[in-house]
Amino acid sequence: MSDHADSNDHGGGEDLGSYLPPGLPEPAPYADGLAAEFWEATRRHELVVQRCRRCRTWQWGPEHICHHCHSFDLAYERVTSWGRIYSWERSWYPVHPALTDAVPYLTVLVERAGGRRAHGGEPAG
Amino acid sequence: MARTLSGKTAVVGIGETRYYKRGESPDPEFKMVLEAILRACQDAGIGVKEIDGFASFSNDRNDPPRIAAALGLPELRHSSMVWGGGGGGGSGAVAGAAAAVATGLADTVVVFRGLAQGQFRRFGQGARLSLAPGAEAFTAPYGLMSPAQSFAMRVCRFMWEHGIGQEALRAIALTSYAHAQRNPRAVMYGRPLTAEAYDKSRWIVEPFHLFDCCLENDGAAAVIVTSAERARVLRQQPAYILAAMQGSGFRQAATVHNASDYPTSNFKTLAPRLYAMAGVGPEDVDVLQCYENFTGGVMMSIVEHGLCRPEAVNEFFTSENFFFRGGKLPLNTSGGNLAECYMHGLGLVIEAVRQIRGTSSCQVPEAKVSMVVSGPMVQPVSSSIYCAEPTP
Repeated sequence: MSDHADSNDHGGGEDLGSYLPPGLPEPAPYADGLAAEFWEATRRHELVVQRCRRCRTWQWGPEHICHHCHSFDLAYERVTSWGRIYSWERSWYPVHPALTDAVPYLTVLVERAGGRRAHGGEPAG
Repeated sequence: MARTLSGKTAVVGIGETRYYKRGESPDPEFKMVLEAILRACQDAGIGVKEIDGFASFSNDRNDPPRIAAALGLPELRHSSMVWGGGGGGGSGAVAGAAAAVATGLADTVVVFRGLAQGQFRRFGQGARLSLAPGAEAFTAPYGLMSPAQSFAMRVCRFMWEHGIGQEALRAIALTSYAHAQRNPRAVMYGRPLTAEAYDKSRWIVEPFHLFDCCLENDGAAAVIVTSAERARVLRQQPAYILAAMQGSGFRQAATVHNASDYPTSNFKTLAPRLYAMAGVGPEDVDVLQCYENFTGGVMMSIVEHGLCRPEAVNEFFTSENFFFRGGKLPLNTSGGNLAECYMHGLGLVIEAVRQIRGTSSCQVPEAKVSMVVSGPMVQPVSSSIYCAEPTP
């Protein structure tokens, strides 16, 4: 996982933007507010994932409804940032001007216990 | 009686503008769409004002009410859109047109796609925004912003699970370029590709070299769908639509790369329904046009349409097996999205029709069953099967 998510387990860590090359778009919730709780949690250096309060199904990425029981009552529960690398890629073409000096860089897709996935990497090189 | 679309409609006209490199079209996108429609009508031998419906995909900017007004159509009776990005809706738009005709909603439906990437945002780069909201927020911080990067992650896992080598992807690229050398319409006509040049070409994102990625082009394409009865009395050999449909598996559009079945082109649920509707099986497919956003998607699509087992990919994926003459599975005989033109795959439908008519620049002898696979790895995807007769 990213160094930011690692800090979830160790307490403390850098500011949110520290691993972003200058000028790369910064993460933001959906326009309708979805995922706001996730990003608030990152500011506390916590990794959270949606979980249905009614049927206890985990869900990721975020959505307004539980895909299993259709409850709208979804919580964001803290999870470990440890997992296995599920897939990876090395990018050579800078898809954004901010990445021109960062290529090549690795991005990994990490699968945590239970099957939810998230990305990590070091685009800053 | 079983509900089916099979054999009730046909493609009777095909039209394309000249295909340009990105940014080189002298004409606006909308004008190119009109030109492609006029050419398709001319090809079919029907009057433009007989058009009474439209179908498109990928959130095409050129809306049917404007087209109908521009062409002075007496009545617009039907229009439909397949949502989703990329070319996933190419065959799905054909299905929409065919369904409208088969059910009497309209009689003469145009499937079209206009794409002037030089006049609008490019696909291959991230947006120039200061914020990455919504789903992009979870990937952009890791430098993952383009379709190539999104799909490479799926393909890498698939290749790892099945021990597939780079040569399988290379064979797909070499095939498209070899076929394009016989197609004067192709943007890469006169620019052959060798295995050495492929190997030496720069990486975009591993496992995709430059030549594993589709082109970016300006142009427009259109096909005309009408009833099987009417098709029989028109000018061209009809390409009867044996099957055309959309599909997407369980939560394939889950964001943050969280589809539970991840290393997939997303055809696992569709392919069995497709063959059942068409009344043919994978062994009956004479020629295949398989959407190349990236070669890895072609690989997974061929596997998921039952044309090659995953453990046989390394052995089967050779440019000889994919060559139009003597190949076991003639593939992308116009040069496709890699070497003819990236018209979001509508060019692949047109090429499938040419194979039925016997007019391809890489004609497969006695091609009877001609299949199109549209837009692997997106949601929804779609496929279609064409035949010179309304039943296989």
